Amino acid sequence: MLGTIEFVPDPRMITGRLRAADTEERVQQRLVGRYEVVQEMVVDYALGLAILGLFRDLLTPVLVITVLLVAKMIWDIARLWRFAISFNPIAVLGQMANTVGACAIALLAWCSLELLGAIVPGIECFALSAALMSGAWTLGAAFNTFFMNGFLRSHSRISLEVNDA
Amino acid sequence: MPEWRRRQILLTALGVGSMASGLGSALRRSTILSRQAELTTQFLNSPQAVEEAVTRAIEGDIEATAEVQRILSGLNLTAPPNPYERSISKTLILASRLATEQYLTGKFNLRYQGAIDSLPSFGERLSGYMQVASIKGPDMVTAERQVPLNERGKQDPLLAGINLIRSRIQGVASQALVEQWSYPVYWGFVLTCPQHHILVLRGTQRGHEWLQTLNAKQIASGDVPTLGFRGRIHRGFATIYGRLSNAIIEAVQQLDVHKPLYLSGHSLGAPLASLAALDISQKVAALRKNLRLYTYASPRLGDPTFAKAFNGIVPNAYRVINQADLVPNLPPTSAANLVYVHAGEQWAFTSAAGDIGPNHFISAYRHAIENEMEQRAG
Repeated sequence: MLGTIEFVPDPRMITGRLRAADTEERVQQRLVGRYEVVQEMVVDYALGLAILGLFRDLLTPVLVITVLLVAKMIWDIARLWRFAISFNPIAVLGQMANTVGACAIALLAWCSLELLGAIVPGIECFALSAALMSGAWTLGAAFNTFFMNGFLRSHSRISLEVNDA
Repeated sequence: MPEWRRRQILLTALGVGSMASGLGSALRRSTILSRQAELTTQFLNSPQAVEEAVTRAIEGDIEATAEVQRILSGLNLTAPPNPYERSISKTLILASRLATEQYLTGKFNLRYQGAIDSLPSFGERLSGYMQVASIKGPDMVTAERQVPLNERGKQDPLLAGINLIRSRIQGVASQALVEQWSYPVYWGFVLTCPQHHILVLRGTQRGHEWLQTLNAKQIASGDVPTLGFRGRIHRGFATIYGRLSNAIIEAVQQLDVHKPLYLSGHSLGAPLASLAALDISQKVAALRKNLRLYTYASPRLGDPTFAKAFNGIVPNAYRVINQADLVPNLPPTSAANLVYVHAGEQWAFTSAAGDIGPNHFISAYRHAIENEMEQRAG
């Protein structure tokens, strides 16, 4: 009679796998959570700048405050990602291109509303507001991705540990 | 502060701000429109004002003419102490032609050294002169060569198709790169003989180039580092002269200051020769009393303040024009808050060949001057 061999899993192995899956999920949730917190903050900054842009008759002070607020936004993003700057050349170059792109988007938004103002009178008074909002939003999103990239690289040992477990 | 509350506050502030801004803008526009309507009603309710406006519009040309007359009568330029010399004028218009030939020869023959005795129009009249210097400077127009962009696309059917769509979208029928280059060209020369010296600067080739001077901006002395003057002058002429100043002063410094120096130029060369006279009077002061300026087909150079000051510095200035030539009437005396007037005693003739170019070319001037057709304006 042929005997049957029963596979009896080692209870330690089951616990280890469950623990690994659990840890990986928690890490992913924490990453996504952190990303979303920054995202929310960027939207708030963009809204704040949009409010600021409504004071279009005070262009110089508005632009000075914008520069300060954008710098503060970048600092806050970096702080929330624990200043994890990525020194990956592609990421750095990409971030530089994104910064130029954000300025271009702001300019495009301003031009579009100013042009639209020629057809629909009154729209042009939101041109600066739209420019600051879209520019800050794009720049914030780009910096969020940039610092997340740095964070992932500097904390890659966590995922390695998860896989090894 | 909780996250949702901050967002709520921001959104509320943005909404309220946008409404306030939009309403403020609408209110301002509505105020302007109602004010305009009010003014129109006021205007229409006053038959005298309407009549005055209609009369003003109808008689606008009369007013414009009167304004030009006012400007010209306010000039009071003094007549030159020396008489107009027909024989020297004949030599100078020939020299102007040679300056153009010198420029064209140098432009295409890069080995040409600037000697005028090898040029086609060189003749007996100039055989007694020795060429002291040639004046070289940057060309006013850069050379251009079009390089087609889509050469490589022809080998790739897909790329060629995309290029075609792109060019249609952009509304550009023939996309091309323009390759530009520039090299120094001849702007004129200096001649000497036992009795006097001659400095000639060349002009442009095409009469219609002067249509560009209709929108001529003016600049003050502070904007031209190499030249000091009173009033305001044409920016383009001052810019071109600024690039030639050093070469001209260097050439003139070799001359005997006790002999008269005749400066001349046709078309663009005329205002350049005027500026050269001004420049020489400042930088080679010993020559100042011996300067004689003969210009042909000169456009207007500066405002009345400049013209008066110029008249005092270079009193022996003569301006020969063809009454049928458009160029001496450019830029307009008064347009877009800019005032331009001529300096120098006017000598005029009429030679109407039926178009801008032929009326302006040196050949028309040379023919008239050779036949002594020019007369002093009354």
